[in-house]
Amino acid sequence: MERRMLLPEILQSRAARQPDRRAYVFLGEHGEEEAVLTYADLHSRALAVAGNLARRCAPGDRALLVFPQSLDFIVAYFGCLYAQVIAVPVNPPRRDHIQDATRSIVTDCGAAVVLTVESFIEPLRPAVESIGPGLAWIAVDRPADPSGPAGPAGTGEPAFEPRSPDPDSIAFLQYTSGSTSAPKGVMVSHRNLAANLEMIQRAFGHDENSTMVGWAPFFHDQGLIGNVLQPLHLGSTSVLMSPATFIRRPLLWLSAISRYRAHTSGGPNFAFEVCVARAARAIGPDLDLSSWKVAFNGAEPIRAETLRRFTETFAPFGFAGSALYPCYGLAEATLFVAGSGKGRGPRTIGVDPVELGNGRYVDAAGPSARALTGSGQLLPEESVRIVDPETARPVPGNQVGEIWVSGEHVARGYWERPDATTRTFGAECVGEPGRAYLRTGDLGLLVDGELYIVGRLKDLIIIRGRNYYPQDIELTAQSSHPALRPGGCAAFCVPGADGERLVVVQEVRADHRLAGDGADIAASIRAAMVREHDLALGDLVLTLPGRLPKTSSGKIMRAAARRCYREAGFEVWTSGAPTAA
Amino acid sequence: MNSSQEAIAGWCQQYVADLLEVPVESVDLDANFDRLGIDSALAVALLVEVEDRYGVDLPPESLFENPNLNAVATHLAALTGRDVA
Repeated sequence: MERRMLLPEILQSRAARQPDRRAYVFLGEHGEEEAVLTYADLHSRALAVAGNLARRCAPGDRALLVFPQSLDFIVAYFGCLYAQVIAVPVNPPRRDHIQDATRSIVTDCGAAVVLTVESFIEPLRPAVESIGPGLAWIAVDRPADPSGPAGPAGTGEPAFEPRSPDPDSIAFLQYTSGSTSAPKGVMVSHRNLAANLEMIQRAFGHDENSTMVGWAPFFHDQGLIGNVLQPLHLGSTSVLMSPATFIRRPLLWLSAISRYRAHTSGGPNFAFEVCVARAARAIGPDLDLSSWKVAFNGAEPIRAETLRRFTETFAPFGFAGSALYPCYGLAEATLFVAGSGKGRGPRTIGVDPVELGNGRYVDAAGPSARALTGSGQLLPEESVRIVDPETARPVPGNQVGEIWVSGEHVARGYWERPDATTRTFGAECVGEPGRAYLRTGDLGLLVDGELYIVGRLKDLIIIRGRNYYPQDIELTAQSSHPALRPGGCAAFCVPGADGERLVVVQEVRADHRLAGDGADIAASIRAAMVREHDLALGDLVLTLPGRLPKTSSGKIMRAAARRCYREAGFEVWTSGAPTAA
Repeated sequence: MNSSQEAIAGWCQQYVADLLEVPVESVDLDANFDRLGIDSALAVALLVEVEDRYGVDLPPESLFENPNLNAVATHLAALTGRDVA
């Protein structure tokens, strides 16, 4: 069998054959071209980073990538691939505050180096060094320092020579799956990347002319693999922007697609929602979305209503509803597991919600039916089963079960977590001895070859395409003020007007119930939520001690708390202050 | 439109109360955004509304330099140049 080209080899070959072709264009806040990397630029800057890394650490060591959304991140990432140092992308700090989740990643991966930009070093160094002393710091945007690596125009030292990696070596760690208390770095190998990039290429109908536009964060699997690595794999151009720019000016996303004649672009469901909401204000008359062939929608539950409104709003600007491309995937399978067909459009079924609650698909119509939008078809390169998680047996057709995945795109496991790796990556399906399956934790249904996601096996909160663990939110809430009862908090989501609303119900300690200051307590919880998770609460309920339903062993029963919140409601604790709500 | 500091602050207070679905009197004009529970998506939503309403282009950094509603209102009142406060 012909050996596949791996990413570092692809970059070297493109740099040699088409050095001046634009690989990445980065747009600023008003859509102007702020930075550009050709293949030759990326190659030579990545070599410089690799040379720098090689003098400070060894292949297999971990390098933390702490970057604002910028092309410097991509330089650092390829620098790591060249040096065979394992890249660990993390969420950039928010106003110089390093999130608890990032601290726990620094410790978990045992980083040896921090790759960042010059302006981040000063504010970050003290905080990061208190967690990981002795780390080496490299600013990739600093012009080559005199002691630095020689480039072609260098100081006589030979330039760094990248060697081809072992396909089964780890390319990078993707930390989006674990909770703060137990971070889980998905070990993505070069083989996983190559396999999944090929799957995406075929399923999206991509070639070297498929320009992409993207704004998802690079430390997130969709932003990195979908928007950065896929275009490099193809040899096409990727037009990138910051998630903050998208949030601020959502329609800039669409105008970039129009201007660069992009073939593929997408995001979580909320992105499509936001565009519809903003459309009334400011669409330029020259917006032309007719080049847009794959409008992928993934990472968040897909809403039929959003797809309908998006098509209706943007059809006058050349958008074809058949370009809507629902898809499904997860970091444990590199990125991509299922997707619609190019030009096919989304599929929606009406289901009986009561039957679905019992794990069965029964076709239904009328006002009581629930619309489910499909997440696309499975790919021939993988094996996917819908399995009863209790018995490990595949369920009969039209029944809900856990989605299990096997294939070359399924990652090797979690970094230094053998038990969690066995549990999640080593499942065996009845009737298929010897084949390891990934347990996704997602509940799904296969109807006529289309995969429908119906829920999660465990509690997981998904907001704006990011996953949050309720226990992390609860820990942040209850630790934010001394008047709060440890173990007396429940976090869950309820449906809101536009997507999910995050609700926190927190018990106040018995000894604070008379003297506690409600406004101060509420502000402390809300502030901690913003600082650690950048999340605004949909609702915060302070209640009396012992009001949250718990198991006999004292564990919070979130589903019961959610039911109570939606039905009877919790008895609200108010402090002495007469103005408290 | 009244673009005094007080009027702008009052408008921002109501807007944030609506966004967070909390009573308007619980939105403290002097509290840091974090303590109001405004995440970056809400901060940007506020900013976009303010731009539309008062016709000024306020870069997001200014919200983070003065992260309370009174300070934002003072800044805006000065920018609109019709400060009667």
